[in-house]
Amino acid sequence: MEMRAQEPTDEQLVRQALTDMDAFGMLVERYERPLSSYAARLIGRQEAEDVVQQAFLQAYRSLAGFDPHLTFSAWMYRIVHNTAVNMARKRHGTVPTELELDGEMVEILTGDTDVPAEALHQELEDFVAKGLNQLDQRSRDILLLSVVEGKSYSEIADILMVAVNSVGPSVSRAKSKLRNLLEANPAQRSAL
Amino acid sequence: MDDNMKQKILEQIEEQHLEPTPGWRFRLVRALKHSAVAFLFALTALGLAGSVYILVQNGTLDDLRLGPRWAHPAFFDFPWQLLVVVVVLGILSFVVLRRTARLYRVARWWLVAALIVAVVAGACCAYATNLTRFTFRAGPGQELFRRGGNPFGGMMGGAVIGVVVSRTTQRWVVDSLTGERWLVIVTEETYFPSGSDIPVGMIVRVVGRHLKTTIYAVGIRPVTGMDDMMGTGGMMGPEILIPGTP
Repeated sequence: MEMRAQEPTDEQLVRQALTDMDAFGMLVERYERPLSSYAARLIGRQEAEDVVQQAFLQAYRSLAGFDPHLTFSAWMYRIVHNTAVNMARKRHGTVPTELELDGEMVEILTGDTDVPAEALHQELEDFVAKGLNQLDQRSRDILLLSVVEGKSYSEIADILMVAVNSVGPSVSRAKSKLRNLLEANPAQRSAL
Repeated sequence: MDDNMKQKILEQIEEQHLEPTPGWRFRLVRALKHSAVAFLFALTALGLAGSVYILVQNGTLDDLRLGPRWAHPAFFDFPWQLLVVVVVLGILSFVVLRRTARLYRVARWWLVAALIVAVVAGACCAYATNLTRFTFRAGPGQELFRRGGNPFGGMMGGAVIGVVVSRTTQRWVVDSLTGERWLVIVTEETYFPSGSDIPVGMIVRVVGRHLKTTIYAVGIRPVTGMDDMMGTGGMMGPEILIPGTP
């Protein structure tokens, strides 16, 4: 039977990180990948690295203010989200307009739609990305977190600071909006 | 990229000599925010309480002066427009509270219901503890009018109507119409209507804090024509007497 040393929890690492930089390094290791992916979807790959770095630095400064009722993951996602939105507004004057989607994400967002060919799939990705861009910020955030990041409703509530029981309906509304947008476009309809 | 990122972050922390902000600062900011929110809610509750009371008393919002009873009226005697301000601040505080205290997790309607209950309870407490100084021109005939403008007039002292038996600069003796003798303490803060000259023998209306047989006068006004005083069209019209007003 394999004996594995029990890894410290995020909350334990947060407490240690107040005095021990290595503990903070472990937290960075744990979350840099998912946070980088999330930031890339929010603001594009080029700026994602900056966003994540800034977010970690901000988190380091605010470690003592970490609310133990939250998960560290939700806390970091919230910081990354806010940093990305702020950076996008500063640099472009608006919220991000380009989203990088992969095929899996498109399939989830378009529901039970059959995607017959790779070429068509690529075309569909573009349409879905455009559709997402036409959504309002809140709907887009909800879809990214729930469908793409696979976050629970409770975590989404903590990240976006909304009521837990409003997340489910918001997800449904956002999906519905996206599908309506896609269906409203004849070219997209043919692709679907 | 990943290894680099961790290294970069740790390097930046060292280069910029970053340190975690001390916990007490977060606690202080949180405490200040919550105190501000609580204060705004208290103001909202007082405003609500005052306006409801006025409406119950068939007054108008124009009759409201809102301010803490223990503060000097020159600085704390707000018009009804304060209600608008406190309502706006109340909404703001609701928004701030919702975003700072994890109340965002609670369904909005539950929160609104809880806040309404809290505001009404706060208003009741404000009355019960008599911390407020609401002054009204509710008009003759109103119970409020007779008690001196305070809904809990007995607790504050209310008004005494009687004859001035003797007077010095700071001490008056007034025999009330109900047969009690009152020592009335007059200070520089005591309000007299402009142009009023109150000689011994005149009937006056004294508003202030009662202590056994002593009244610390907040305001003294001459009363003329006791007949029909409380009736509609009586000689003490609302423009003459402002009950409870210092």
